Amino acid sequence: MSRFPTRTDISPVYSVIVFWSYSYSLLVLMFNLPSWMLMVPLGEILGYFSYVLVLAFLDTLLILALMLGVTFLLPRAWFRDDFVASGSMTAGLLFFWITIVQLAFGFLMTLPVVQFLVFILAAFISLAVAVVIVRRMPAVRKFVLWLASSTSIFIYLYGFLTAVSVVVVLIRNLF
Amino acid sequence: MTMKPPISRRDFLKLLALTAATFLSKSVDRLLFPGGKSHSDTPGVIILVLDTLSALNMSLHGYARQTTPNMERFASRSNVYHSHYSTANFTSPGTASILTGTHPWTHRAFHNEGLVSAEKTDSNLFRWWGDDSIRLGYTQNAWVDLLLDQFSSWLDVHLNLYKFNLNKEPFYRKLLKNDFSASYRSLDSFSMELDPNFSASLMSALMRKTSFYLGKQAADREHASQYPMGVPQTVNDVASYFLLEDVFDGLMESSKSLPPSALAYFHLYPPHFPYAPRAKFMDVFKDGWLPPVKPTARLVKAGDEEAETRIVLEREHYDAYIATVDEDFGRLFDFMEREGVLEKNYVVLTSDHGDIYERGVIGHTNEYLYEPLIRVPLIISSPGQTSRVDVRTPTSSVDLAPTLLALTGRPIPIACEGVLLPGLGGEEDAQRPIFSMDAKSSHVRGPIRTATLSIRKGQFKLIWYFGYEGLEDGFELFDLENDPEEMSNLTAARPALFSDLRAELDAKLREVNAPFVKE
Repeated sequence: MSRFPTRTDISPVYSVIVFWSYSYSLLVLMFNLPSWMLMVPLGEILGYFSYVLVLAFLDTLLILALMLGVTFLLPRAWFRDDFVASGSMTAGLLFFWITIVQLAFGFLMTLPVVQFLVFILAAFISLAVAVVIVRRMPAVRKFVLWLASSTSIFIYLYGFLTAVSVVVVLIRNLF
Repeated sequence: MTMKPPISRRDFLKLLALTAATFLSKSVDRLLFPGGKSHSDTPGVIILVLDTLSALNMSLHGYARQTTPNMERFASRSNVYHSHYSTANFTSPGTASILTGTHPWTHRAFHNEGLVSAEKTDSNLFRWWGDDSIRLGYTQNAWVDLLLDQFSSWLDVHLNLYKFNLNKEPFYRKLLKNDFSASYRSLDSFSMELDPNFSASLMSALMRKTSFYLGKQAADREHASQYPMGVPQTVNDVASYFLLEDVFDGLMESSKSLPPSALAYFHLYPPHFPYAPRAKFMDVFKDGWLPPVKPTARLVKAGDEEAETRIVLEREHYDAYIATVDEDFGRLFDFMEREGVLEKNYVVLTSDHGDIYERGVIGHTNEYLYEPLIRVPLIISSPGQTSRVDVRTPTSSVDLAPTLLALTGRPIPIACEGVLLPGLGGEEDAQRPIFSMDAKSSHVRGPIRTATLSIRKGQFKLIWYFGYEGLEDGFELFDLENDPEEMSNLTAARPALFSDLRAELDAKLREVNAPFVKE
């Protein structure tokens, strides 16, 4: 049997990834808008917007690939089974940790190797604990599944915007 | 029985390498300079811009520390401009002024990562140079590369920013080169920015940061004996690190292979922060020397001043980095003398802006127009010049383009706002107003409402701060002849002079804002 989850299982997890990745990118973009508006016309800003969305899309593929890789490597019972709940929980927490690493990147890189490894280990343990919690606590599981289901709309919304953005980026670079 | 091949594998590889080398040696000029353009009867021009080099930190201009002995050697056969001003206090506007001969309020590249306004793009030195000889542009500074990209239609050779680096250009840069400015601003500078801010991308930015960090760390370790503070690198979002000697070797090679009458613009990143002095200069300026204590900068709020110990230390590092760059400049100068480059070209050494280490302020990402931030070197060696000419009349970076065009027999375009430099066709005019500006918070397509403006006229300089949120508008008037350190604000002591200069600055602001103000 396949070590990968089914497409039906992947879809809600991917929607959680899409929700986090795009929402984060767009939120940061909003903060930068005022400075761009001082120096470039709106049409040009829409061009920047396209690049940001295309990169957010690539980020979602990277994270999904990472998670599928983990699914492939781990025993089925650990992650592959009940992938929707475990995967959605992991995706959310993974974004949390990536954000922390980004913000504290300079500090983390100055840590002694042992402390750095402890930090990485803590991140992995938190992910594992999260998976256990989502499986053992029905309320949490129910909430995560609801979240995964609710965010599925973003695949269509951001998917459409991404398709337009890809066309914009291609046109700007080909012509 | 085995047959011995007519040619061994090793011989075949040697032959292949020899063929390639022969081909390259013959065609390198053609590859570098397509079309084989040349114009042998007029001198060429080589402009070397060292980013963030304040004239006030150069021993050439009387600084207490011996930071620039090699530039002094170059100066001994050049025209030296002692009161040369950049039009701005940071890269984009300062560089755009050099390349367009116009002030920031005209070219409008007065923001970080600024671009020359679309309607002014065709007013630039490369276009005015004409297409009958080669025009080459190279920079390590991404913000300057944005400008060179704007002028790429008039560049015969635009060397890659990563050309002399230790690290390679990221793959996506090549894919997106047709839309350089937008992709740079949205990806390198925003979604995947290296600074420890919120990058808009989570995964890609993290991968880019990690890759840069690991590569830079490896280079730092490898060259730790030579560069104890790490190998030189750029900031502003281009993941770039390099050895200074490699970059200067590259300049030597490029300047040697320039055909006659070429225009070459080289804009190096050092001595811009982060400082990476060589080991031999690390302790040279730990001499206990301190500059005079000056009043706190006007816009610094009480308690926000940088710590004095940090200011002193950063100044030491800056000076040591200048000395490091000067050492390599000395090699370049010797090379140019030896190879006859100085005999065939006007060679210009200047900077786009300075840096400040006093008044509770460090660096140049600020709103100030004090002398350390806008006084930059300008040294011009004419072909065959053997003696030094010192010019003390104030001059502006907008003067460079028209002067170089005139010196090489080209007409001066009406768009140029500068005049011919004294000693190179121009007359000394001490009463000519010299303007500088910082207007990062103003709209590029609107009137300038928030800015710092300065006017230097004769021995006096007036600085005007206006529109800053939560701060009162204000003025500082200095007598630079009797108070070169800008210690005493004379606005109250010299009311008539203050009133005259203020009226002139106000009139200039009204004039430049007029096209953007609706009746």
